[in-house]
Amino acid sequence: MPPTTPPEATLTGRDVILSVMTDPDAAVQVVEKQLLGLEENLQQWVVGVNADIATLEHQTRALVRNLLARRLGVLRQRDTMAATFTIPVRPVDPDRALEIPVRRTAVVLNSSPSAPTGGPQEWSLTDAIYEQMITTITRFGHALERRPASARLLLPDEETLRDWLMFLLSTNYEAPDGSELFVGGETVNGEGKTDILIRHQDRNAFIGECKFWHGPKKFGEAIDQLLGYTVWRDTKAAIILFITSRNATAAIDSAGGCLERHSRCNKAKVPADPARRRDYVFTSPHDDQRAISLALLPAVLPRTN
Amino acid sequence: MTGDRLFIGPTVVEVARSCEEAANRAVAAFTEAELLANSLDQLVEAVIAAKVAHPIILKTQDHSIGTEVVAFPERRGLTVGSIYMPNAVLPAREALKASLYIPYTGT
Repeated sequence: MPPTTPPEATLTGRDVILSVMTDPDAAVQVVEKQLLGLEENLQQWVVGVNADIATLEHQTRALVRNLLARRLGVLRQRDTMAATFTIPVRPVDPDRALEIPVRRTAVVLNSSPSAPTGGPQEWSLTDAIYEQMITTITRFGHALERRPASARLLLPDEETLRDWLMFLLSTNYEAPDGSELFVGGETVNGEGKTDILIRHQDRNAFIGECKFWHGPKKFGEAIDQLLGYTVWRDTKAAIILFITSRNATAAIDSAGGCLERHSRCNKAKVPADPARRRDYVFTSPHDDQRAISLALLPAVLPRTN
Repeated sequence: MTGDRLFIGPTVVEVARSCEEAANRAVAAFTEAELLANSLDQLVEAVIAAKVAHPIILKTQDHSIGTEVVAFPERRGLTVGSIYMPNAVLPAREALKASLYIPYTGT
């Protein structure tokens, strides 16, 4: 008989290793029987542990459900309270507010000097109006982020989101004669189907694209589509990038990288808040003299079932 | 669980307390947006999946044996009951260590 030594048990993360020490001349059957006996003990132990785990899961499930119900109850009570107050509810911080103005802003396109070669008159959207529109779009994105349950209704496709954004922009901006400023949706423009456009004399002064993040390849195609549009010498554009994947930061960085590395990208401005807005200047593939100022505006919308 | 313990580690009570604390923290960590965007069942399952141990499954049908040569002291050292206690002063001889490898998943 080999000397009696305590068996050892080791975990590697993949295997349980049960070991015994034995004399070299010990009978193989004895050693094997000893190991199989240990394995049987372990199996009995595991049955007990799994019963403990099942009990623990049951108890934890009940606990978590209670804790969550309590938190959700507080949110509901807050909303009920806010709806019942007779005192006016404090308005949303102006920086976060998404305003629908009483009077829409009339958007006048600036007449720019004609090209040095003496070409036709050029037109552009003023920087002030462009920035105002970017703010409106950004707040739309933030509102969706803050109300994911409501935003869920808008998530089926890019067209639905585009239509809502068109609706919002149309309540804020109009043409100088009071007519609708934006075209989009059904319009086939240049090499692709457009999203939201401000057009003048068959060229685009503003291009807005709503895109879901489906990886760098699809995003690269969206950039090419945008660059395929017919533009003025100074056209403004925005890509509103809706991200439903869990790793939003990586997606935003990847989208920014796609834009920076694009062969038509002339300049990537240093962003103040890279998670909210990044700005680039592109040249049109049809004419090096025509620039497109492009803002990347990410909105993170966790997709839920 | 009752009976002899094969592994030294936290007791069932200690594990349950630790799990309860982790679940509390997980629930508190949900943002308002996450609470509103997901159903109660989805939130519960997310916490359970992250914080509760998973059942252990031993794949005994895939077990295998390995042996290695190890130093083993002469049997002249101290013994406690039938358990042999190695004596570092005495010269060692070679012995075999037989190990049963059992793949598993869980915890």
